[in-house]
Amino acid sequence: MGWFIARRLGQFLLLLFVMSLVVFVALFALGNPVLNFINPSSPPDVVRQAIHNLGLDQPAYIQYFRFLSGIAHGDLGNSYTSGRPALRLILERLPATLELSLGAMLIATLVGIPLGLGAGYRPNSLVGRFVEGFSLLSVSLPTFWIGLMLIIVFAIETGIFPAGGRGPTTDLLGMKVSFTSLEGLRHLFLPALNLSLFPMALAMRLTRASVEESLRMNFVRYARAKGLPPRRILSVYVLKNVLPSLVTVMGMVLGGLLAFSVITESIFAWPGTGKLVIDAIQISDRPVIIAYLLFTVFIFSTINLLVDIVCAVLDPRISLRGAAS
Amino acid sequence: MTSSPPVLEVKGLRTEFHMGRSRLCAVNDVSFSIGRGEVMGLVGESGSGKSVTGYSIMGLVDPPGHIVDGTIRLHGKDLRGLPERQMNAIRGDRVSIIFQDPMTALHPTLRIGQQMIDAIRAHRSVSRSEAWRRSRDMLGRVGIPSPGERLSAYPHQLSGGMRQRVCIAIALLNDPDLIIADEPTTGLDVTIQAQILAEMQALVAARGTALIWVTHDLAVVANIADSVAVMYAGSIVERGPTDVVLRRPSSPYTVGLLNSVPSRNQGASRLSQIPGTYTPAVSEEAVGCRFAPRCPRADDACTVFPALTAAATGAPGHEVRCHHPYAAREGRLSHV
Ligand SMILES: Nc1ncnc2c1ncn2[C@@H]1O[C@H](COP(=O)(O)OP(=O)(O)OP(=O)(O)O)[C@@H](O)[C@H]1O
Ligand SMILES: [Mg+2]
Repeated sequence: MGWFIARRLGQFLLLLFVMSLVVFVALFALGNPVLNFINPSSPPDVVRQAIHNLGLDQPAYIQYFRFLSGIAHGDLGNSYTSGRPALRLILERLPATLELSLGAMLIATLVGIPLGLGAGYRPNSLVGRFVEGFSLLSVSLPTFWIGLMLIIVFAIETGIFPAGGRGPTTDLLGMKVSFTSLEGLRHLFLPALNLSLFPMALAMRLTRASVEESLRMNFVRYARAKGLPPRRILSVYVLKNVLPSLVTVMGMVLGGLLAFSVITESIFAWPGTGKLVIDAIQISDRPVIIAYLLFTVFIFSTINLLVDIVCAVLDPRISLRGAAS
Repeated sequence: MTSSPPVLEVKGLRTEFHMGRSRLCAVNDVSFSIGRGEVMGLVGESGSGKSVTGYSIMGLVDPPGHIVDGTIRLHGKDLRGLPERQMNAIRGDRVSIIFQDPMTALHPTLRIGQQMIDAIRAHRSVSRSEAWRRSRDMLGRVGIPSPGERLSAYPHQLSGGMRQRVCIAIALLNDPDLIIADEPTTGLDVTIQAQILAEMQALVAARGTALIWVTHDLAVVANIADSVAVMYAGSIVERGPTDVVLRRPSSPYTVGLLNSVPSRNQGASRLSQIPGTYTPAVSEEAVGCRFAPRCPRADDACTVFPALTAAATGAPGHEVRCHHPYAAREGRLSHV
């Protein structure tokens, strides 16, 4: 186990290094960011001074080297606009995004897996038809459109939920969270629902397909031969067989939600990392963008590691040593 | 040989698989009955419909398969058309089955103990610890060493022989009236086969359980079975008391089978030396005797599907499905 994690850590560092190089080169190619946020009518020596202060007059490899040595000290540079550490900015926004993404995953799994189980067990039932229709609909309607509809119907027309923004927050283990209060939950619900639609459809389809496959397996027939009630067969014998692949895919989706919940955060004015990075891209706030992308690599690596561990717990035939290769 | 009413009585069973527009008849007009404590050997080549017969009795034939005709009476009660709930109460309790492939029958990621406890608690309201105790005892009885530890093992941690014994133990858990053992010893080496066979025989004899032992192996049948039914292409072509069928076979197919057994003591032998190629299940309305194309005695009469009739030996229950059965002495084989 320890060996497995150490090896994963090595892979992670390598990935981080490659990623930093790619990101750095790409951004460098975009040209000098100073011109984007400095007053264009400033005198030339002010501009030159600003470029010098940011170290942008140095050759690219020196800039990159300084950047790397900064990372080694946990310093990803300061935002060009606010002057505050980029990593700090991201971490401040993280609880909001975390809360939104986990909320969305919770809705997606709580709704998606049971419906997928039902649909796989009886494809021609009402549930089966609903799942069929829902998953078709959710791939053909864009997320932002559904988000706008949710706002129009549930916020503007009926006023059941607020149209945007984050509710009051309380401190939980040093993080500002909003799901602890009713008002906070009301603010969280619509964006989380919106964000949950894609993973929900995915969970349904995946569960349905694996259930249909599991039902043809010999061990399910054997469970029936033992006279087990259908409920137990479905909720233990089939589910246990379905879960590992479900965890794997949903883990990847969670990573995607955390990293790219940009659209939903914009529509619902949710102050998370997605909104932060959109703003940063607009003004070429290079350290924030880089810090954000590296942070994304971190999220995906961490989630992958967790998924592998969970799968090893669910399926005793998997050894972590083997999974590492 | 049965004075008590039969535990299981199958009459005119017909099971078909509907695939697209074609229909495949895997079991055709199968009838037999088994009394308490009786062991019946069900013999036939691969694809002759032995497993489908077993699944039909258990009500486990899945679409595209359907039981289209016949009755399956357990203690006189017809299982066909029984509501799923009631059938579930019988499965694993009054009738249990040991699957042909024990490697895939056990759930790969559930502990052995869990799978055994489930089998008990589906039918008995006993505590988990009581179910655990019974499971452990049963594992011990089928010859698994340190059964307590095995209960917390996963199937992949056991050898093939062990898994087979686990399946046998599960079949015995609820003390059923009938066990269908579908080639439970294929894939095991000969000594373990013999060992399991002997254990199984002792266990069912002690409890008076009826046993259907499905096999390719005539030597096994000779050892264990009171009666034998020989299947060919979905139908029983000959059945009767084991010693009569094996010593004075009447059907040309049975004679062919016996002649293809290399030696009495050689253990497992695939039954493949009958001339001609075997056509397993039969597309719907094939006419005539299925064995005719390979049969040395076939003639024009064999274009009509024969009925099961009393054999010339006159032995009780000895029946044959053939227009030209061997007469009582004619078919006798010296080496059996
Ligand atoms: N699910 C299914 N769909 C279509 N045909 C099937 C199905 N199951 C069985 N059959 C057909 O039914 C026939 C009988 O099969 P069965 O499994 O009963 O043979 P068997 O006598 O048990 O053979 P073996 O000794 O190889 O186990 C075969 O021709 C097989 O192709
Ligand atoms: Mg079979």
